Amino acid sequence: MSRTRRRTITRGAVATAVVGATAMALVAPSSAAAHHSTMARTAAASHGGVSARWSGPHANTVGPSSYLAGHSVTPADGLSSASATFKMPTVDCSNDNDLRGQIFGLIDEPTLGDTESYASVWAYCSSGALTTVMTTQAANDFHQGVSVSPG
Amino acid sequence: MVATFSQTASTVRTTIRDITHGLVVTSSGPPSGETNILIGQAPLFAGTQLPPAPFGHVNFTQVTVNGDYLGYAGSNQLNLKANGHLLVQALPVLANHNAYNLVFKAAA
Repeated sequence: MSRTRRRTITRGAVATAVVGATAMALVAPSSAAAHHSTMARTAAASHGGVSARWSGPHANTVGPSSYLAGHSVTPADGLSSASATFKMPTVDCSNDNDLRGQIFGLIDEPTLGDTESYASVWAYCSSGALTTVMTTQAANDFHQGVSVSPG
Repeated sequence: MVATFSQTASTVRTTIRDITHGLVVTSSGPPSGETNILIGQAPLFAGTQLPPAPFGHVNFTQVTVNGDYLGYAGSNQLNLKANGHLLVQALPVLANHNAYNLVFKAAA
């Protein structure tokens, strides 16, 4: 099933999601492999059929991405839940008349533009003005709330 | 802000809460087997992928995946780069194992 959601904004407009259900040519960035890579989560010591999972912190890998920044997790046993708390940062739009922006939060975006679900705040600059909006998506269900302030 | 994601055999649900002002936005639907979650930032689009807006830094705290602290979840630390320039950097997980800082470095 192809479910492509592009987080699209237009200059001077209220944030609007353009939902494109049709398949599109997705570009797999060079980071995709790293993004999808599954960490070896288990360092098993086996003896006599008994194995023990290493319970210490797992070392991170570090790599570049052409579209994402943050910590990406692909649990070996499947993804069931995630949560994070953050304060909305102060976004500086004062020196830029170009469109700039991103979303902050929890995001499942295996390839560029192919977002499957997220719990986020959109933040973007347009003509020097900042727009922020609470936004979620899960499957085909997309919702936007109100703007949020830094802090 | 508190962001949450949950997925069962029948439902995937995402929620963002503004706990300061008591606001909440939620989506839910059938799962499609999401296997990966990013704690950080992703782009917006306006015809093309937008460059990130300057934001200083974001401190993600109380980060858990499948109930485990981020530091125990085996994360890949992704830094946003364009044309060889570092734009946004994800710092390592802090000593408490459940927090990290996302730092804006340069405009594209």
